Amino acid sequence: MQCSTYFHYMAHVLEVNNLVKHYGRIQALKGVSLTIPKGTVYGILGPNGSGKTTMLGLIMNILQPTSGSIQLFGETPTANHRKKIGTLLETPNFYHYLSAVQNLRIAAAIKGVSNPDIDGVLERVNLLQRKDSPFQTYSLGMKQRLAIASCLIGNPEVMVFDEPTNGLDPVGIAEIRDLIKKLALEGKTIIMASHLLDEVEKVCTHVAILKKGELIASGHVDEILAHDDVVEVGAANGAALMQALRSMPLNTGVHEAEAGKCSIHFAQGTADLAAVNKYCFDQGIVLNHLQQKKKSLESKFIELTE
Amino acid sequence: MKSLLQIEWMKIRHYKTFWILFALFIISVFGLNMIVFKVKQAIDEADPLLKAMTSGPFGFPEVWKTVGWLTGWLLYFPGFIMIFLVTNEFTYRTHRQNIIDGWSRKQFVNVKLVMAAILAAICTLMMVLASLVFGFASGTSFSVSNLEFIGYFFLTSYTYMLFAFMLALFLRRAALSVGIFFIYALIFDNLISGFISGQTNTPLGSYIAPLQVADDLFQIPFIGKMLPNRPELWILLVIIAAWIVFYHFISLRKFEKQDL
Repeated sequence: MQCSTYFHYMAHVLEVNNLVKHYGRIQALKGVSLTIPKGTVYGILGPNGSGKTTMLGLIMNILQPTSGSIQLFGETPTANHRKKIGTLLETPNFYHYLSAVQNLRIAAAIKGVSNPDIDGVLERVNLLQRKDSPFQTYSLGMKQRLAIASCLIGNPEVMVFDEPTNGLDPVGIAEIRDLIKKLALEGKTIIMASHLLDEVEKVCTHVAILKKGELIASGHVDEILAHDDVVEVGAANGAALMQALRSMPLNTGVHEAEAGKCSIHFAQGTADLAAVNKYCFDQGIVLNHLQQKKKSLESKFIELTE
Repeated sequence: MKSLLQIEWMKIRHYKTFWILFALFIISVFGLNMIVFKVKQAIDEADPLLKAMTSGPFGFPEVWKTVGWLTGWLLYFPGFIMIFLVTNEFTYRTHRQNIIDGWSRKQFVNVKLVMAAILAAICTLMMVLASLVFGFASGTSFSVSNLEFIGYFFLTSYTYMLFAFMLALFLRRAALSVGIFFIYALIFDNLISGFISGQTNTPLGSYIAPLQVADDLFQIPFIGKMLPNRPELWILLVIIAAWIVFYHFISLRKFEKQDL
């Protein structure tokens, strides 16, 4: 009895089961299953065309799934569930001839929010000064801010942001990331699609990685996006070097690099150059190259999605 | 439905194109009827014999038919308005946002269908006002006969609005929808209808072409009674009802099944 109450309290915000979407002959999603627990900041990471937006579009019922099922708040999704979710999908969609305030009033009316705090949400995204200008006069960054403001209407418990920092300048990017972090601290569940590894790493608690319509990994950010320390070494006899390194304790992988060099990986923060040098010397190999590499996020991302 | 309509009102309240087209339509209704009314007056003065032959098309009760027929030619304007109300949503991608924010797909279509009915009702109101103005202006006194033509005019208008709505929903683009709507309604619908009626020497063409069936509720004034192949009224009404049901069904089905 206690167990079921506990389970209900921890209910998942979103559950996706074996979701498939074909556009004609193109398979955009090939059977993705995913659960997003309450209170997480869940990043959906993947390169362009990996199916992130398609998945969110299916969840929000603007696309029809080929097969598979979706549950929102533990129930079959209806329009009323969508009213409780603030969603920015793909692009900011507003009436061009209406002002920010007029557009947000429409969004609030559709969501059934009776006394929307329009000024409050515009303040949170720094748009209050331009609240009466028509949408068509806005810059790309301002449009994006307005779309985020629209998500905040009615203070929903769950928010979906598809590429939230798209089109923003560096200051704007930092502001929006801070805003998302604050929302997370307020206990909101946030589902965020991004092709920026760095963004997901900075903002999210959990991550799912999509590649060509398939889920290739999901879990805590710390587990999925752990950075190895990488040490690049070189010696006259490359083959012997490889051989020796493979048997070195604590390594998490040895890869061949350019001519005569190879790289040895260690868990984050455990690489010790002196130890590598000593180990190789003890094995009868004299190093002519020894360097700790800072692994770029880009190469990590490519490694994850290749 | 009331709250859905309030939201539609928020969309059009500050939409300039809507109000400009709307004003032009109202002016045109009275303008076009005025022109024909004046021409008829001039002819009557020049030739009293002809006046005796054509029995006062602008007097009660004939005025309902005459103004209804003339105003029918102006239904393109509210048709354009209907098209813009739908294609705007596609252009701004707000058809997606409305659904994302919490409308069901059915609500999105249903409120637009009600908007089509409201536009048709406004067109009908204009036709009634113009009929009263020119009926009294021609010096005749009000009579209750021929009032069924008010209802016929509503059916004609609603058919036009639904046809425009369906085109916009399927084509999604404003310019294309307006172009096809105008050319089809003005030329092709009449052409198809005339060709079939001519070939078969029956009123079949009136029944088959989707807009002609509504147009034919009003016969051309002055000479209408002399035309061959007059369609049966009750058949026209049944076919119009069938088209209206079809437009509702196909629009809902299209929007509920497709990717937005």
